[in-house]
Amino acid sequence: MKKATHHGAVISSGILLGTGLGGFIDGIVLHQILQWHNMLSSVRPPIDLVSMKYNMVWDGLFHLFTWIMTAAGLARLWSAGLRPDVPWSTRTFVGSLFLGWGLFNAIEGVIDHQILGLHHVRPGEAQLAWDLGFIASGILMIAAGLAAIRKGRADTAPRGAFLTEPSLNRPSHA
Amino acid sequence: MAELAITSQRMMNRRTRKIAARAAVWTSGILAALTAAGAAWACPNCPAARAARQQVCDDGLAQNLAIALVPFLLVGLVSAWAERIGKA
Repeated sequence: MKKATHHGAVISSGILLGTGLGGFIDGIVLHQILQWHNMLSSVRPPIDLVSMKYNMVWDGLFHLFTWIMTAAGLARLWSAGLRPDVPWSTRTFVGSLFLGWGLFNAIEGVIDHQILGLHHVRPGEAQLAWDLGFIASGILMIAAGLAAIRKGRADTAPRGAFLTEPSLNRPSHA
Repeated sequence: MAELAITSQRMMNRRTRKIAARAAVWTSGILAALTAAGAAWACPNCPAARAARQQVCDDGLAQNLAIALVPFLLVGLVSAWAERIGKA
């Protein structure tokens, strides 16, 4: 059986899906459940109904963008699964999800929180510590994702090969 | 045989009536809850909603949209670049 080596297709889709799912966690947990911040809460603090609605619009747009990333990632993953040259590696995929989530946290943390000041993770006296912690969580996820992707290089069986090739009971974890 | 069929039909009717009764109870309960919650419905076109929409437009909608999009675009670029890894 020919070895599949085009890991990039799964990595690319995993990055998009990780960004989308990570963005949803941010929006659902930090914006809605904990209500620590909203998309433009440092521009217009949500202290009355109009400014709350204003931020709700921007949170909605944020969720729309994360949905688009998720849908794009799903489409790419689907097309990757149809190709014989793409290795179907769990380690590569999970690593890419973490890479995407971490990249998003790090980039959003630097640009939106630090450079533009659109919002802070948890406004107040310790906001800098929360902001830096958010960026650090992103960097940690990037490192974990890259490590998993590196290990996934050993996986070279395409999707469905475990059914058609009896010698391949499971993906190789060498 | 015919007696068995009649008994079976009767059991079916009894079961159908039970399901219908349950559906009626649930439907009326949901309708009652919706009626009671009427005061908490959102206001898509009340003064506060109109003011919020106006502020979204007045604050530079296009500029804020572009700013909000930047992290997504950057990650999208990384994803597009990663697609090339291992391509024959």
